[in-house]
Amino acid sequence: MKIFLNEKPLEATIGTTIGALASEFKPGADVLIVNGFPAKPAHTLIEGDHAVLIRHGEIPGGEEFDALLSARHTPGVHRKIKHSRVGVAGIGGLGSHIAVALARIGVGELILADFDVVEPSNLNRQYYFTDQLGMDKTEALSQTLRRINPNVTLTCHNTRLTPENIPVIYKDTPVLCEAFDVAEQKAMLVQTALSTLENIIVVAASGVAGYGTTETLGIHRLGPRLVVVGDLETEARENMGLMAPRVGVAAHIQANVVLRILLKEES
Amino acid sequence: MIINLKFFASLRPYMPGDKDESWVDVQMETNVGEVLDYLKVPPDKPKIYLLNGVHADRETLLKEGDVLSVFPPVAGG
Repeated sequence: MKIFLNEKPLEATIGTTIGALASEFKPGADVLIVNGFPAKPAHTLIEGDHAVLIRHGEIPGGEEFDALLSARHTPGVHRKIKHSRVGVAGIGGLGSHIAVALARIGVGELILADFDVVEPSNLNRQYYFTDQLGMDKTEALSQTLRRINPNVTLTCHNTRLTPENIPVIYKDTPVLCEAFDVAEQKAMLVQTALSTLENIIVVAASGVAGYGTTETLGIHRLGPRLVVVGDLETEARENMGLMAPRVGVAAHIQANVVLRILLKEES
Repeated sequence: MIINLKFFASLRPYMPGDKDESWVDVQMETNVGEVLDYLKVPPDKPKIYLLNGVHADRETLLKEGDVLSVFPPVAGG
């Protein structure tokens, strides 16, 4: 009979138990799962079952991780995502969540840039932890991304992005997320990228502050190479702070626009 | 020559009329910055300029039928 072991097809004898499968393929496995539910070793498998064997604390190897993502996303989609490269300029509230979402779906290479360190005021919305306070954001986020997906290639630039270094850092990057905080820096990045990097598509954000309804967070296509996510107007200022829910939603809309570009669903 | 204007967010009030887009008649050899100055768009707002959907700057010369989009990103991220 045909079953799936850690998302890979496998021919198994009728009557095979999950415990027997564990003894043969992953001795010492202490968590046995059948079709999404914990199972005892004596559980008998049937045709079409999905069995997952886990040893606590063991990180899946590259091939196993690939198989998991391929099964989730379908092989064709996974291949496209895996062979893609995405830039993230600024890894604060928007950029840290964008990077996490892209690492989770298996983007092959992320090019991250930020000159900042993790501060206490970042923790209300950014993907950092209390034990990372004081670390460079590039280092802190790299740690987290590697825990999520050890297969992702990370190229980190612990530097301030300028009109001079943007064309160098994001050369040969087909999609770039603008994830800055300061308005002048946002304009500088978009203007520089569009004027110096031929064919790059920029996915920017503007108007993500506060706790207004997320229904106003739109996707605005201002040209063939510029998409802006946000309500375009709600600026971060006194009494209109940046908060995890709305910033997080905007970041994930940006990540989804990137995904659709990678899959050629939009250009 | 006639050009099409599309101003976004806080720049919309500087666009003639009360719609999502507008048209202005400008002289030949006019550039992007001159049109914005004519419409009294504050020069200190950070802006992204697109002409026919492609990157432009204040010095880019306009031609008949061009679509000029100007977008001012706001702080927050």
